Amino acid sequence: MRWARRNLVAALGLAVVLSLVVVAIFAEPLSPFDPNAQVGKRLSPPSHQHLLGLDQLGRDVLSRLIFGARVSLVVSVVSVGLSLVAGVSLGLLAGYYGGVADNVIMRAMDLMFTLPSFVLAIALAGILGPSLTNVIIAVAVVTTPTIARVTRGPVLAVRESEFVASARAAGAADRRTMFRHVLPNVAAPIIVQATVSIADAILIEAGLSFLGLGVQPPHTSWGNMLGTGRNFMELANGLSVFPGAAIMLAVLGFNFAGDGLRDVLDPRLRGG
Amino acid sequence: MKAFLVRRLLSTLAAAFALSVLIFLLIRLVPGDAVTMWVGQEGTMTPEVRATLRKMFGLTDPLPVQYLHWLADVLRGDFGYSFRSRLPVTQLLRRSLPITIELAALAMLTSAVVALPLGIVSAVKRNTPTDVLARLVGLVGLSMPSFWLAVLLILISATYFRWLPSLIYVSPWKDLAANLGQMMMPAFSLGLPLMAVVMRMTRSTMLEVLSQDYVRTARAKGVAERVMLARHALRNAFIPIITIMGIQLGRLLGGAVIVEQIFGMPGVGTELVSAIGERDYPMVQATVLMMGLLFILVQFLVDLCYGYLDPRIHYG
Amino acid sequence: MGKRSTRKRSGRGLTRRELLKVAGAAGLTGLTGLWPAPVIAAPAAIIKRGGTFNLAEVNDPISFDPHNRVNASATVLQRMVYQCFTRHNPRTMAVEPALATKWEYTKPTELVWTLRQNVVFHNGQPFTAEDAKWNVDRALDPRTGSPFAVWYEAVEKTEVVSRYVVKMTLKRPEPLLPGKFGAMRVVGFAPGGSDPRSLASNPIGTGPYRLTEWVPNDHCTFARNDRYWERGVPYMDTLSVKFITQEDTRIAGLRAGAIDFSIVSADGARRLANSPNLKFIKGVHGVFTVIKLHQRFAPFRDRRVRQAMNLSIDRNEIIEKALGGSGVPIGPVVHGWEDYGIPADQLGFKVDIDRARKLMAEAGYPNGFEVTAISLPEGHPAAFFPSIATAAEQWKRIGLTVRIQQFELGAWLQRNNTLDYDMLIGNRGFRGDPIDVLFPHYHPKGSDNPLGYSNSQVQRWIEQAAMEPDRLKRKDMYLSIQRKVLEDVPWLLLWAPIENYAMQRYVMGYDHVPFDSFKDPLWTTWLDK
Repeated sequence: MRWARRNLVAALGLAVVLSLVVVAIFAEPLSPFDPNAQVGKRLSPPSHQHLLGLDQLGRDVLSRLIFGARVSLVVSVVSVGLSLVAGVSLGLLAGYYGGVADNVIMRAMDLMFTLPSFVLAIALAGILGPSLTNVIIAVAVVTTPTIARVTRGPVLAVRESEFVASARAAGAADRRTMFRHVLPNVAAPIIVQATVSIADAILIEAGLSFLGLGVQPPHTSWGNMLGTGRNFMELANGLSVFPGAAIMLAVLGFNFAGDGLRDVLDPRLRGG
Repeated sequence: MKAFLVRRLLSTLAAAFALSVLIFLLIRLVPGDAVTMWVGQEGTMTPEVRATLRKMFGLTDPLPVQYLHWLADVLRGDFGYSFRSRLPVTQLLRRSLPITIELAALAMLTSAVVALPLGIVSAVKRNTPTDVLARLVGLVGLSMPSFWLAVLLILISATYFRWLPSLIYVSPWKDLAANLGQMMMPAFSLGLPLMAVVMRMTRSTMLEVLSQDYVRTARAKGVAERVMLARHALRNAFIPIITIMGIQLGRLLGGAVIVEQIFGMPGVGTELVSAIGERDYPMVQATVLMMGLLFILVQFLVDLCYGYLDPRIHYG
Repeated sequence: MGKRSTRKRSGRGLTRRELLKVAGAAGLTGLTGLWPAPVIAAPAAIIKRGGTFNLAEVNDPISFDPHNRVNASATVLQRMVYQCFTRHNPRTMAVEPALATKWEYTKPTELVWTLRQNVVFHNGQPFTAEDAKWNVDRALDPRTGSPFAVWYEAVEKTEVVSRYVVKMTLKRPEPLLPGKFGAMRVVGFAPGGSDPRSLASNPIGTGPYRLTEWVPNDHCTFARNDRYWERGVPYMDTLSVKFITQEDTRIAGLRAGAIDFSIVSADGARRLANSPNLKFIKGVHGVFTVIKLHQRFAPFRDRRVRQAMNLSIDRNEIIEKALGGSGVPIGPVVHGWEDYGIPADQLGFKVDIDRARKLMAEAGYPNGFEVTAISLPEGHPAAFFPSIATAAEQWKRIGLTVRIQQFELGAWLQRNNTLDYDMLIGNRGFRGDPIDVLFPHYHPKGSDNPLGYSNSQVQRWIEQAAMEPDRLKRKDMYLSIQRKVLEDVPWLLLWAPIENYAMQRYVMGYDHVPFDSFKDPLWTTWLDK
């Protein structure tokens, strides 16, 4: 019974994620208006024409929410993708070779951790000019240490296992061993962490937007909408409630989907 | 054990050094410098005066020289003077760092104190209304952006209860009650996401432990529930929980910046944000370095806890 | 060189007769024994002295160095503590005596200040000519690095003539100098020989309040100066200034009664509208927002293009979208500054898309063009982004496509100060006299003239006005300059904000928003509770 219930939750999560992906891909046909066009009186309440109302510049909230899905999804998925590449490599190296390499890499990861995302975001925005790419890089840098850490643990354990030992005894090259034998066995927690990180990335981007370092126009992100929308609470609650709810829904969706993945891939992983 | 400590110390120093170089370069690469901010929008400066100021800030030396000067001062315990306020950085940090540390510590404490029992109760009384409520709170904490939560808390408190804690910072040494009253909402906003994660983790670990064979055996033998929970279940749950807390600390420090801004708290987060905005290099470098060292210290303590809790892990 | 008036220029503030009229109208005959006295007369009511005032400011002042204004917050708070030779009347912006009771040009290049007697610094030290000289010297010293010293660069040297008389020798005639010393951008008077580093955190001045506590990024506390030279003021004992960057928190503070007084945005004022414990005031602030055009972008060099752009923006819509309606269109000099500015209804701005399209076609851009504009981030209180975004929408009608880049403040400032942009939205603030807004922007040698605007007639007027001691003649020149500039459209003037302040109902006496947003009315504010 527990299995069935947990499956339901995971299925819901997956449904949410898939809907988001669909909305993100088909934003143009789905969205009733151009998200940046000022189509009416500012702060208008929901109406037939504008189902979620208009924001402080008279832009259609529903359209912005739809395009925001695309941006939030792109930012979180791409940044986690980048951090997977970096984090898994570093985690593999640290766990497989141990010793000095492990120490150095893990301290470097600690370092990356301490650099608050906004410091990096400001620096990048300043140096390279403001853009979507900078937000992605900033979020990727902040997420990499977690991925590296999650990779390293199981790698350390697997390293001592029999089939790795036998592979090495047989003279297999390190890299081959790592990729052929080690990685598939530690893939499960990494994949699960990736979904959780995507959820986190959405929240990190929201935080950056609050500090004014999130995505730039003409892009819209939910974090951006929430950050500016909160100034109009009580005047037009929808401006903060809708993007806020969207963020929460997406974050929960990815988390539940991640839980489901964990159950499917390896039920023993629940303890983390 | 000693070898472990020495290795850790060395790698900590290496990390601190690398961090200082990184932030030194990053902040100087950002367009605009302290002199630009000094002139502001409405001032005018002759090139000579600009050169004089740049010299005063040490900005005319080549980068490696600037860095070495700074490093030499730091090793003597002198973090320099803020470019803008001309106050000593150590004095400013001494005032602001404890505030952020207190905030982060309270956030972690409240989240642990709330999450652990809630997680356990949730697991033991699975699917009861208590469980459902706890999980709901957990879901909100997991998914709500912390700045939104903070803003909602403030507005609800002010609008419906006509109450706000003192906006001006009160030190715990002067008035502990007032200080805790101030810290209540910020610590809660900051700690809720962490609480949610820890609660879920506790709950799932407990659920797993409760289904283990030895638990069933113990139950069959009649060992007191509580004793069994405490001895076996919690022990096993602690490792992943501490891992999580260690991992989340970085996020906590970052989140503290946002929470401090909203509640107007003069912590290190607010100081860092305004120092970056003002291109106050000594301030930025010292603050990031301090935060980094703090973080590494906590990680070290976390690793020590591992060693204590899990006999399989040993540091040689 | 221009006309040189043989009439001596002197200022003495109000005559006794004028003062009696004012005091009588205010019903405060007790004050008539003083001369000169502040024009800010308290309303006729029972004034309750004492109490602590909780004020919320947005930013930390960073430094109290009187010769280096650091930011707007610093200027506002420094005025509680420091004073200068002259000051500006909060309602009319007219120049008034402060620490100088009288000033006169014995020669066009010689200005003699007579200082107020029996004024004492916060530390008990008497204020004398030596102190005045020290402060002016330090402010103008290049080693101090003040970005505003250039305002006073006409001053060659300052000499002490007697205990209360200071003589300034000028490099060239500068009739507007007394007003410049009132703008208090640079020069506040501290005791001569003070250590500047100490002044930065422990200011000592002659003002109505003295700083007793400052926790950076948290709050400042000011206590009443019991030895202040203006008798009877200030009314309140303590000012407690808390720094809160987030408007939500200030709104919550006002609602809960934790804050007595704060600036709010127009939308913020609307949010607070149904709070029974609050009341509101508003007034125009003398800072104007403008879209700057750089000559390096070819289309802008053609006046027809600029006029087309000017004719296709709807300023009222921009004000509505960016400020929630809380703003006014302005000309080159914001109206409300004595009588130097042109009122909004006489500015002649109109929306005429057909004419705009014709002009664009004539200039060779029938299909418009693309340009990149630099702005501050969307949530920034200066409301730059909503203004330029709305203008960009409006310009679509003439084929103009604007790509907006949001820069963080420091990066924006860098671009703004080095004139490194094609189009940038920014603002300019209040000065001691309109010449300080007209010269930098409309004179070919001005420091903030990105278009390189140069008109020989305007240039002559500006140069003459700088030397003209007769205020009314200057005013005529200013008006002529403004009319020509409105025709030539060197840049796109948008709006000046109407600032909104919210305060608890028991706050009395603060009944208007000073044009320069300095909080001088606090000196005659009191709490009715």
